[in-house]
Amino acid sequence: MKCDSCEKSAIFSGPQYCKEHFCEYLEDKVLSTIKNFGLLKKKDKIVVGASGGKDSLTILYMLNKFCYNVTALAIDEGIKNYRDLSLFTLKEFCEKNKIKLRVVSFKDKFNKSLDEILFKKNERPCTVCGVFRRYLLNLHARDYDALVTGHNMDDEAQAIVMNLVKNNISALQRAGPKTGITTSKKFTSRVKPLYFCSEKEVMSYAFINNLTTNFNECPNVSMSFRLRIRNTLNEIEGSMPGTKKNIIEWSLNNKGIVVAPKTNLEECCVCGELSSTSVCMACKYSKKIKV
Amino acid sequence: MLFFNILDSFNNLLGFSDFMEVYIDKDNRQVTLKFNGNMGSLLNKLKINPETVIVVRENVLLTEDVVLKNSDKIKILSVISGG
Repeated sequence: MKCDSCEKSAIFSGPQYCKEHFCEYLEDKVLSTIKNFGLLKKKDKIVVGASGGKDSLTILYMLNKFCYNVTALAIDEGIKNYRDLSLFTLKEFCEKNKIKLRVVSFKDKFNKSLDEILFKKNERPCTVCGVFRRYLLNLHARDYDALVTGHNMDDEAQAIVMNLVKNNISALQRAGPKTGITTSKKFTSRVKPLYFCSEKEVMSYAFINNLTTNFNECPNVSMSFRLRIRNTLNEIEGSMPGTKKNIIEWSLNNKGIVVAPKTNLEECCVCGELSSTSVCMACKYSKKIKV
Repeated sequence: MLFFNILDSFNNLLGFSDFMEVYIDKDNRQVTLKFNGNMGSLLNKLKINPETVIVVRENVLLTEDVVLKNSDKIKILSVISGG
């Protein structure tokens, strides 16, 4: 199979590109997403939520290459033999690429690691982890103009289907490359430049550019609802290519059709952070698991 | 015995080794098999959805139409979420 743009052999199909043209194609796609959705400005002070996985390393690498002013922010949940390994990769990557790195942990803020929380309480790992992670990201992204995350097209298509299944209209309304648009100084808008890049494209880019060899998966993923949706979507995509892209485009094109009731943000009466209820989810979970 | 060892070495050198070595990272297992066909049909044989993996030979990504040899050493890497 030849590259669509030159005589070299293709290393990626659908579209067919050689190594150099594939990287050019993916970087152009990310730059177009940034431009078309007004995600970032060159003068912005940007923080990237980084885990050390292929997605966050790819977006850190690209933004650094495009000369954006980026800092990496890692949340150490405390997942043994997983997060310690990915944080090691992230530290090496940031040192090599001269990117500033901040690491904040569940243990420091909530007194327990995720492993310790799950050992004592019968909680769904992804729910607790998601609430605490979002809380810490929001808290530490405050001094920045934008919080970039490495969510890709697969992540977003899965989230849309999950929210459909759960009839979560307000979450469906929030879906898109730019979310969390609010005037409050306590909230930094979240942007997803990899929104139109498939997981396979991101993985191929990370591999070609030698960004990481650590492709481990979170040990708690087997317990997640997302995994079932992911497997189903991958199965459908195999026989009907373009399914995931159609899902995210449907979501973007039909935002006005599903109208969610307005939620007013207020300050949590315990910690003072923004919340849609009088006590935020992080404080509710902190009390529940007595961290 | 010595004759066969020497023959094996020649075969390996010339790329005529009898078995293909396939490493599947998701299961952390190595499969040795005889196989004629392209990368797409190898994934089909191993019952792996192409959407969920990238396939590498000598550190180069392969597309599904690439014809494989029995002397090849193949790595199948899972496309998995970070986060």
